[in-house]
Amino acid sequence: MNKAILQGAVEVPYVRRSPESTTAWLGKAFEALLTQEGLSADRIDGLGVASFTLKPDRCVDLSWRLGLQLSWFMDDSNGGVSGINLLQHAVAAIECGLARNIVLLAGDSFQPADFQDLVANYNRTTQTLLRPLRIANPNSLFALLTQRHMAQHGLTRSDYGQLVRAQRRQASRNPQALYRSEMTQDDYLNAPLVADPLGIFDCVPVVSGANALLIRHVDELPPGQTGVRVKAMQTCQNMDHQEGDGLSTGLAHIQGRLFSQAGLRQQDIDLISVYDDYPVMSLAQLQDLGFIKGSVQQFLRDTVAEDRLALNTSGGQLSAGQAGTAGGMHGLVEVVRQLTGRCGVRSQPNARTAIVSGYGMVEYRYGMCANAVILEATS
Amino acid sequence: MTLLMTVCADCGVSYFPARLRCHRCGGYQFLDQAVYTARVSGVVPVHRVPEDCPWHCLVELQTEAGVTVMAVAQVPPTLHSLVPITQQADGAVFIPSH
Repeated sequence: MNKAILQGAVEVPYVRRSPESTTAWLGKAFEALLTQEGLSADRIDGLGVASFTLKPDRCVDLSWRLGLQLSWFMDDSNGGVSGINLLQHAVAAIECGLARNIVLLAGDSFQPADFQDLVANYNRTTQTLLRPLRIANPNSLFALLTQRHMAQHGLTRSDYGQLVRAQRRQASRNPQALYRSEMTQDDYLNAPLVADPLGIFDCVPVVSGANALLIRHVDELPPGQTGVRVKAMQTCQNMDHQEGDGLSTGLAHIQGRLFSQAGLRQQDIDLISVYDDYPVMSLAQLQDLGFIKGSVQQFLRDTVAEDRLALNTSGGQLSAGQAGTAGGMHGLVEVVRQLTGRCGVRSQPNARTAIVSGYGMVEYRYGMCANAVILEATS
Repeated sequence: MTLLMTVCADCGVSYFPARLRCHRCGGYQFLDQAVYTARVSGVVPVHRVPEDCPWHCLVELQTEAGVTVMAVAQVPPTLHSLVPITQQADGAVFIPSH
């Protein structure tokens, strides 16, 4: 993976409700990315798109609207793993000579009916077995996982509040995060319950928005241009056939290979971005990736609550919002912007390396997909 | 309506929801098996319930064969208790109130 460089990343600021179409949001992200990088659209020969609501259009329809002629294209609707999945294939396409300048887009604009449709028809199992239950949705399913996690690790609601509040502190410095106001522990604990033990601050707010990434062959970069290189990337789908407890993700299977491929250890990582649809899954990913060495409670109280870890530095989806599949690219965009020095006053000083994980695609009980990438700033 | 598991015709492992292939033995043939009771392994009281929805609890159940089934109930069942289960024509698995 020596030829592909992530040169730039953008997030079109998310909004709570949008009258604009998903196509329009993706178009805005494309335009913002190319404007930021000073690149002509004529140079783009690869396009990947992740979206739930672009249908009936696909990547090829978007390429027509954008006036692009492509030698490589890809659609991905795999939610929380779509960003890294697209990146994996884009890097391979550049390494194989299939394309030289690839834009990856992810975004969704939800009208109220769109989100209901997505939740009710996520896959065939959801359609036939979960939708008829009326109250089986991501919130109640992850509430069940949170209960199990609490029992397994001796945690209380207050412990999860440490993670949510740490991310809110990060969001307070990010003008693009939708939810930035200070959150006290009382605010967190007294928030309305959605499904025991989850309150509203444990559930990602649904928003509309789009993200974009530019991946180029190293020879295409202007002289002196720096970027971000992929050091390692691993994926594990359907790791346990939905027969586990849901608290271990595919990341546990790939962690060893991932760090070995990168030639790095956990302590060498400067920035961490985990897919934070629910706090319980952030903790499961951190544990599976080897960042929690002792007890989860100790980690939350000593490391997270004390802001000793550059974790989900945008505020994560819990504070920035989840714009459908854009959530699968949100963390990638944040760390690429951090590693290329584009976060202004909230830049993490001296950050050179980052890990980003993706998680999602609930089949019957929990997410069955996971992937992760280790990135390094080029000098 | 009785809830039906699928059982691998070759190795006897039970699945729910149904699979196309048994991942343990590789078999493609399955038989139906009726399930009438299961043990409660998790209960989530749901606070945001759609209007006219009779159920207020999401329940996780374990069948005797060790298969996990998601169901609903009007009132929270006792954890680890053995409960009767049935399935509506629309696919909803539920614990009857009485």
